[in-house]
Amino acid sequence: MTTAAEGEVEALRQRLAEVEGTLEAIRRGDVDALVVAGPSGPQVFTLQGAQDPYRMLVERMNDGALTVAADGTVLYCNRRFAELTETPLEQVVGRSLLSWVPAGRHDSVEQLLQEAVHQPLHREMTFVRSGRSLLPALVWAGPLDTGDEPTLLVTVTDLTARLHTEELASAERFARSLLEQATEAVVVCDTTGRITHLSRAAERLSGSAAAGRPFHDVFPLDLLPSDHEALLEVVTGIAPAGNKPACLQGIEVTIGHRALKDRHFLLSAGPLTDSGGNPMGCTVTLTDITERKRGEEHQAMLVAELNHRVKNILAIVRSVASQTITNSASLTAFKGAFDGRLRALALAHDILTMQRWADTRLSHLVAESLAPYRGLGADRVTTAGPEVLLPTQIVVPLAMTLHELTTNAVKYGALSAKTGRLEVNWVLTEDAGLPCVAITWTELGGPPVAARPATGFGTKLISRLGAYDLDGNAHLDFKPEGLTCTLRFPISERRNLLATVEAG
Amino acid sequence: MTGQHILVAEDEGLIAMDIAFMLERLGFHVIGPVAEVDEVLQAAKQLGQIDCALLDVNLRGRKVFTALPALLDRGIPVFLASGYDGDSFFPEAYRTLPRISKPFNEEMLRRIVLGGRQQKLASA
Repeated sequence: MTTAAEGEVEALRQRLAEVEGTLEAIRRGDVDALVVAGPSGPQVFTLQGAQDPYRMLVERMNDGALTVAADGTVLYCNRRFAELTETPLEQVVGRSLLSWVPAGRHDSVEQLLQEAVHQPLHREMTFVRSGRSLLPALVWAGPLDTGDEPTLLVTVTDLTARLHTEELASAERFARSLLEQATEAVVVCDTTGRITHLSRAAERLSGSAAAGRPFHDVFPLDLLPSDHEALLEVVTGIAPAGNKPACLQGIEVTIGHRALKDRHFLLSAGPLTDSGGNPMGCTVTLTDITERKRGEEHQAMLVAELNHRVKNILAIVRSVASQTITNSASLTAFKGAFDGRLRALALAHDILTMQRWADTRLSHLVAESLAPYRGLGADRVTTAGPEVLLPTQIVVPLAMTLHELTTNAVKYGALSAKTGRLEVNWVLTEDAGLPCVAITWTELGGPPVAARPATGFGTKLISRLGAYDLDGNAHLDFKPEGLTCTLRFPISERRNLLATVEAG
Repeated sequence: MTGQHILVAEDEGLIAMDIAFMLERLGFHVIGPVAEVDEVLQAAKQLGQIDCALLDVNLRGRKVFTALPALLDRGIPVFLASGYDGDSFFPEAYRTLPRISKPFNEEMLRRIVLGGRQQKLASA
């Protein structure tokens, strides 16, 4: 080889080394520009200039962008990713992507990275910011061909705003369905007091198209002036002296629609404000409490009625005691007579309670009154008569009458002798066209009956009750062979039609 | 009070007997007792001498109040007997009428009718 040839080889070697050095420098990024000689003179190619727009784009973009190794180690990230994860920029590179992912989700992120080495893919996932708050994000990852180790390009899109919008929409749907499904009448007004939304129940109450109309036109409420003012403040959101309008709760109102005149409502109203506390309008709720109120009134009426009855019974007891003592020869006699009468009263109330103060069967009352003497034998005490329903107010006086007759029979009459018999029969008949019942009490086979003074309490009570409480008459006949008593009193037609139906 | 005519309305026979008995002992001449609102009205319109009236508020399920003007317009003092407590049961116009609560005894009865009579004398 010649020296010239050797020199040429050496020069070429040097140039080759130079080119390799340049290429290495370009690869390392040390070269800003290349000057290449060409037919039209030297041309300058700026490598830095060529990357700048992309770098700027990456730094300015609204998504987080990073390059990561296949194991998740961050090789590069833009400013936005650091912001999104609330991590200082200089602390991001070298850290694992997994460090912003909840421990339980590491597997799925690792799998994502493995798959993304082969082909781009995207997935929604949640990052944990350095401040521990959550970052919902859409992650896109794809292979970055660098020729060396497999590297990935990752972008992170913040989904917070989108989710917020979705949440708002869903909250709106939720509120709307709540409003529509509400069994109570709920009305939403704007700050001018015009109705913007109504629940179905409120629509029904309004009786006409209500949306867009002033609340007070659609629902003319019967309110106290002070409540009216307070409601107006809530509806308009304007309160005197800059105070916030107070909520109204549980005010009883009626609505001035003819169809609703008998119904009572409980009104509640409160201002609606936006997140800044500015008035947006109000909600008004009207709860129909008519049934509840009727129930309360009914209960109050029942309590008053019970009190009335108790007082009346006490007055009856007082009367019985007072009359018995007047007609008793001794305290022992009083005790016996009063006890018996008190038991007759108790029996009548037992029967009424058993029937729940509804109509009582005459046969039942007669049987109960004579029950203590049934042991005398079936042939000695007989009763017979059709089924008759007695109005409630007749039960007590009739029980008292039967008691007086029975006591007399046991003391002086047919049941005081061993062979005496008692027959109690009744028939349905008519008096002046009105249905009435006639009871005949017949005593037979007892000791001879002496004419008895008509001034005894028992006698007085029987004739008095017969005329007064039974609206009929009681006739006592002290025949020598035995006492006869006839009781006639009307009973309403309706009750006995019912009795006939039941008996049939 | 001897010889005074008092109209009595009470629908429970046993109580009516007791009231009539007490009033007679107090020297009254008892008209009735009657048991229905219509009978009170009838007595108020037709009977010449009624000096006062003792009326149970509830007569066979009807309230006696409708019969009151007929008596009050004649200047007849009315005493109400009732098992009900509290004002709310009584129409406002009749809340100032003397009331006697059941059960009552002769002394209570004497005081109320005497008080009512004196009221009448004072206002006359």
